[in-house]
Amino acid sequence: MNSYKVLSKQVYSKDEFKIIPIRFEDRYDIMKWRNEQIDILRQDSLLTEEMQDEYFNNVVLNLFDKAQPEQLLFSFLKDGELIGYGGLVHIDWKNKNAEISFLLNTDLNYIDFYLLTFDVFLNLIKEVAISIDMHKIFTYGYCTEEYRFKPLIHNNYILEAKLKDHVLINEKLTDVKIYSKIL
Amino acid sequence: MMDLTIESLSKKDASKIAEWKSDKELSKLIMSNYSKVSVEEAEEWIERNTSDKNQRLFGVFIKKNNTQKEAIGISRLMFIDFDAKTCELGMYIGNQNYRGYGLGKKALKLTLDFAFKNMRMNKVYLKVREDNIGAVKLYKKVGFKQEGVLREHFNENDSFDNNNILLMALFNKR
Repeated sequence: MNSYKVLSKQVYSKDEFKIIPIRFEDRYDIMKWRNEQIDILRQDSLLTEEMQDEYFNNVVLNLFDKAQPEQLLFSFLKDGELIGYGGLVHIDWKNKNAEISFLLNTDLNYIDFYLLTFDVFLNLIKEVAISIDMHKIFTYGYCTEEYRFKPLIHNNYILEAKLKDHVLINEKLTDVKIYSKIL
Repeated sequence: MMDLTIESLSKKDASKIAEWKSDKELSKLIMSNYSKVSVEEAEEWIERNTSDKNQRLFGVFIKKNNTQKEAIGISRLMFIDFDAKTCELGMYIGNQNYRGYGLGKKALKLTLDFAFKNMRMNKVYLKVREDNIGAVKLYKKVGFKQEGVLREHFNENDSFDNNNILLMALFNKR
């Protein structure tokens, strides 16, 4: 199993769910989901296997040994099966804040399962953030489907900003919401 | 009345950039990571940011006479999203001797004109320290509206108390 030098604990779990340092073998599943859900991601074009290999070899593999990695990515498992991935990205070590990233397997991305799993993920990633002494974690989400923000509200995240007409999604100017939690 | 322009920066402006980037107080004000920057590093910085297709970098220049001009600051349109027609604005007057004469406002208006008229942007947004009262007042005067507050978002002397950042935006009035 990969391990992050910066973390004293590598696996975080709750009930049947756990997050573990991102696995190389999960890269093509992740690529597939990213391409299928490109509308809700900050991703310009479809990923290819070559691009994904290059990203994992040149970026992801370097994260494990860094004292202050820019991101901490995890494979998200339910009963040992990969169901999604995510982590802390844009980690600002000086200002002690980081953005949460989360993506579910497209086939499992129906409302109830999303609400359950994102809620669990928020709890697990909060533990990671506290362990690296972050002061604040936040999310940056497109206002395409309001239910996506529910787990944040349930976990007492505060709406910090609503950025009007900030991105173009399916030819439509769309708002962005930033939610945060002080740790 | 001082004649002010915004123009592309060139390598010959690198010494000024190095000076401003090495100004601790200015770094605090504009929330950039402070470090001593050499002229060579500033040259690289100009080159890198000028060639970034998602950015427009300008020097703010004062005309001294018909042939001479002096760089006194920079303005930038960053993270240009050509689909949504949005971009982030960053600006400062680096030369302290020129602060307080309304030059920031002029430079801001020139940069906004460029964003809205030349680039046909729909929205220009910015981040500013909540306690930078002068800058916040200027942005409001020009028409920027607050879209949110990033609470306790930066660390100063190991404290986050009241270290808030305002997110402000201005839309094209077409």
